[in-house]
Amino acid sequence: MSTVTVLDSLRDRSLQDFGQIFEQHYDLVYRTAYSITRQAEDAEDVAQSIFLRLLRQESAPDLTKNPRGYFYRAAVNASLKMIRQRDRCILTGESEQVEAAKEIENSSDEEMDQLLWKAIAELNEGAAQILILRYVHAYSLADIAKLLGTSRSAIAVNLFRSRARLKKLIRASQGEQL
Amino acid sequence: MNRNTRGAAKILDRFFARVAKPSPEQVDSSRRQVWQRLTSKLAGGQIEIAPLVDRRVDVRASLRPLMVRIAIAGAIVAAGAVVVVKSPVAIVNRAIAENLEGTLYRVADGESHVVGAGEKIEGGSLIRSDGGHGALVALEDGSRLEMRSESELSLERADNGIRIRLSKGGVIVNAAKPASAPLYVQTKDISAAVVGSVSVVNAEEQGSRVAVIQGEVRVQQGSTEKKLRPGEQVATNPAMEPVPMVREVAWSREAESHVALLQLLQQVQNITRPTDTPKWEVVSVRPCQGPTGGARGGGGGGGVGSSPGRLRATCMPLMFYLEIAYVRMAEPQFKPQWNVPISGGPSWIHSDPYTIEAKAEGLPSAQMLEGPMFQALLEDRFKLKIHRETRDAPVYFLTVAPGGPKLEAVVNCVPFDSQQALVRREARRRGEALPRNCGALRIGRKAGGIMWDFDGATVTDFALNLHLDRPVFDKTGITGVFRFHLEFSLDSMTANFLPGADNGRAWQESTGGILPIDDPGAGPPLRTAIQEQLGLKLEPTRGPANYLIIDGVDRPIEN
Repeated sequence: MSTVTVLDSLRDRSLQDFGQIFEQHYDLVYRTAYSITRQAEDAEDVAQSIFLRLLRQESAPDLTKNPRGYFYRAAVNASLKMIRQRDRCILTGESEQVEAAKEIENSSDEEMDQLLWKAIAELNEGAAQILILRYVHAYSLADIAKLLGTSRSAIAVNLFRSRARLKKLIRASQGEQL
Repeated sequence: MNRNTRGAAKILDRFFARVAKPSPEQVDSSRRQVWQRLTSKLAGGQIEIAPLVDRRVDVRASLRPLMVRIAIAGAIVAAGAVVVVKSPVAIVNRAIAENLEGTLYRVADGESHVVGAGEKIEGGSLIRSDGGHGALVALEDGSRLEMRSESELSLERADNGIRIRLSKGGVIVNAAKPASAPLYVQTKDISAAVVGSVSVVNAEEQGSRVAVIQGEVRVQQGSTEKKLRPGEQVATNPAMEPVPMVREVAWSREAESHVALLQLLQQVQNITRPTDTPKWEVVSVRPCQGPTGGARGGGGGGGVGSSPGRLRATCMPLMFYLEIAYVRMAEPQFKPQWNVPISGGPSWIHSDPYTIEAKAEGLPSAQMLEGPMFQALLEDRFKLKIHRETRDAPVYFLTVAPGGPKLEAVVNCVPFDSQQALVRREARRRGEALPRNCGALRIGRKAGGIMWDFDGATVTDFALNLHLDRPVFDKTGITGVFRFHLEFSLDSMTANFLPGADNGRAWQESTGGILPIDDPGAGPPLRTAIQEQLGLKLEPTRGPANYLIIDGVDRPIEN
């Protein structure tokens, strides 16, 4: 049964509203979650949990203003939370980062990916959202600023700091002196 | 940026390039499956839903965080402090009674209730000031209203912003936050958009009057919209006589500062020169056929230079010469005030290069040649009409960042002084030995970004030499001479930072290609660099800024 058929048959105004929102934003949520979790099942779980939460009114976002911004933030946050839960070895401080980094000296791409995703998961939510929008989804600074409701310069500063932090981690992972 | 940093940057870029992306089929399949799961949960009664439409306007739900904040604010007020509540939610029609010299009443159901200082005022409530100097009311977005005695108004939501409905009396609205939500003052016959301004609005029986102290106000009366600038006012009824601004704000407890600000912002000055400015004997102006010079100071094939009694301005656009004649060489102290914006004029003044050669009567100083005399030459040959003006404009204040300044003091050279630089130049011509002058400003490129080195300058000189998108004023209070070394990437703030036309395009092309804009890999943005590398901070704000306004200019007649 297609989405439209379900909506027509139910003829429920509130569900129709929800259906429209689901249709409009599922792609964004799923693609974002997929890029972060790197697993189709996890991405689907993330997407389902976000829309389920909306249905259950566990979150009450104002979807009249910036729905894309809301769904994007929700997808990033839920995905990063999933990464953190997947691996309980949370990097909480500078020294721990270094220790964790040195353990995977000479790491392969896969190991490097894991290290960096864990580090991104430990960035604050806003910084992670901006980093992924810029480098995963290739949004311009202006588009990110519009989506997240902030200024372009604030985005640039945030990106610079996040990149600096990740580069420091990379250097540490390669056994260089910090 | 060293080799290791570049390596880390490459690894990071490769990491992002490796990020997995689902195929369209995967997305479709997933969407179908999730939708089926959700609808089956609904059908099985596992989820109860409420209309989303209602949820979108669930004001009570949106208010919950605000209520908590107000409760906290109330506790602080009770302890004697005055608090302005700022809510992250879109409920904007609340205010706090801040300072009451008279009495402020809330009028409801025909009854008046006294509002105490610090007490919150709900949106929609009619409030009335009575006696004394009126009342100060702070809105949640930081704007402040000063109500004249015996004024009445209410606050309500409007077009994503706040509407102040003024039914009687007068109010001074200080809405000096351009980035905040729209703020309107509505009377019975006009609506004034006042964001980013300080303005006076009066609602009288005859009609309404709006006067502006700072910023710009758009006044809508019926289908007519009028923009007002500082010192201007409009009345809706021709029978209402214009009121001098001094009288208009006389009732305010901040009357003096309002008047002082207005006087400052209304300054329009004609260009004046010393009465004994020498004359030119011979002048030659011709279009330049070669490439435009690249550097401000005369390097790169273009610029302005003088020798005793002679001026040579080589192959630069008129705008460059205006900066030299009216900005750099105009001040008695010969301070390089690059941040005096020049506005107006046709596009060719930025692009078409001219070479000017002139011989003066007698032997005036270099400052006289390149300043007042050059001004007279440009006004004569380019039919230039230009004046100075002080405007309320976006500016940056340079302040000390949290953690304090990280400035490197300079002690082993002669401090930078532009006026002395001229004296030194003439002394060098005479062959005199001089101590090293450490006021050199060097700009280079480094790893896709800019390396900027200003060695031996005061913080004020540093601020004056930041050629940004708005003027910079030193508010640090730091004295002494320092070395300022910055490494940063180009962004919109530095669109005119580099010397020469088009942000130093010629220089960029000749030194390795056009530099990237907004590339975090090329270094921090300048604002971040100033904070992290110098311990100083650029704070965007508004203030009185000097402008040069071109009223008219023509292409010169060739010799």
